[in-house]
Amino acid sequence: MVAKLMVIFFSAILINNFVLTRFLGICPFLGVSQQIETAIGMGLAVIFVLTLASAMTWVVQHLILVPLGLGFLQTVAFILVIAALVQLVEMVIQKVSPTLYRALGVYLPLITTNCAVLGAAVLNIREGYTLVESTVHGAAAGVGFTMAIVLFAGIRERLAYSPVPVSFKGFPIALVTAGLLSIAFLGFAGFNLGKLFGM
Amino acid sequence: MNIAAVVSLGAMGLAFGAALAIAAKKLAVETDPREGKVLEALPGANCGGCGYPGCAAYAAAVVSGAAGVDRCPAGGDAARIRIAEIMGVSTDSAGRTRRIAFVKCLGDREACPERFSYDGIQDCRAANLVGGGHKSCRYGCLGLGTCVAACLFDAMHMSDSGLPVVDREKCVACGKCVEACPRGLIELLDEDIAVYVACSSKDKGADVRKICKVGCIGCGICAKNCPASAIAVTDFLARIDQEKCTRCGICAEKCPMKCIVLDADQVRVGQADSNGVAVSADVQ
Repeated sequence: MVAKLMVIFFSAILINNFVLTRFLGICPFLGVSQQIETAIGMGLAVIFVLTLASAMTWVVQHLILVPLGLGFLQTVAFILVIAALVQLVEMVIQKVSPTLYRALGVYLPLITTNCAVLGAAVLNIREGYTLVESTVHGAAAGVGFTMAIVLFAGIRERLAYSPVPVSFKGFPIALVTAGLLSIAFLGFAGFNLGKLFGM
Repeated sequence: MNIAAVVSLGAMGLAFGAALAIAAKKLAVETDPREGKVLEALPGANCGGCGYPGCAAYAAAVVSGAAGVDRCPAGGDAARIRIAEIMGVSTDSAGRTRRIAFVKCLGDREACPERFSYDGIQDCRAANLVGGGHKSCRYGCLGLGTCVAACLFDAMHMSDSGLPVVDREKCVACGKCVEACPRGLIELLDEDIAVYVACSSKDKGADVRKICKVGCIGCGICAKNCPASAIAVTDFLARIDQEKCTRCGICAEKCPMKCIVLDADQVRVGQADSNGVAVSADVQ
């Protein structure tokens, strides 16, 4: 049980990193990665939303949609859950840290339509995870997202002071960098985590 | 089937809506309506001259009582009086002496040559780190215009000879250039001062003479000739106490290196100053 959770957790972070391997949640990944501090704030918000959303969408799927035979409503229902959660996070952040609230700007409400969040929820169902496994998978997806965006923000902070050719300044060089980072993460693809945790 | 879909989604929406409504009550952020009004009265340049990160932060500080109404240098008297009105506090309606930025170096490319040709990042802060800067004088202006780039009010420009020039009309004394200059050459002084020492070199006189035609050599002639004893030489550099200065302009006239800059309009020629010291009439 624990071994399987560990495998789910670490594979969602390293092998199937949501941003760098599955290419989900690229919008905030590029939009809020100019500074490490804001990137960490965004990451924490996404971890919170992803973890809660994974748990709640599992409940919605298995206690409401499946018994009533409403599987076709999955996407609508999940978005509803995620939107409500994001609203809650928005309120909390505005209350706790107005500075972070301003720095995240439009990207905070955009977590609602962040495909990483919806992706994790749908993947949980598709993989047939239990409630605990879903929650762990969601949390790991958030941690993976945070790691990717913080790493990327660190690189971009340095890029800002580098002599980048004029035509590559700004987003072009950021996209190239993101691609290289993604290639680096391909190196984890061959890991057999199951063996590592004795499965 | 369809009714089940409508009812289940509707129920979920209702449940989430109710939860959010409760959360909104609990987590409501109270905003003072005066904050928006104060923000409108500010120039909105977010220059940071008040010491807060941007106009919104200053407006919040004013409303919370943490900051006075007179901190915005860019808005000047107009903003100060308007904010005092909004906050219902009293402030004197008289105008205050404006302050503007003064560059304490006259060593352009001609007066103070470069030691080597600098080809790196065109930013004084970077150039200052390379071998102690490319200027002969380690206190002098590097002339790459970092202060000009920092100015949000278009009040600074580089002269052809490589020195920043302050536009006295546009300068609002926000202090951005003061922070930007890696050599600390810019100072905010009252607009109506008559003289200031336009040099920051703490090198010995003989060393200054070798590298700069307009540097302060710390000879002390200005201090000796000042009728109000407003000038002191420390670290081989003359410093004028603007509180004591009687605007006679003698120091600028006597300075052998011509590094004391005189504003002719502010000199009180032929008048006796408050201490009764006769002021020379032949400064101009």
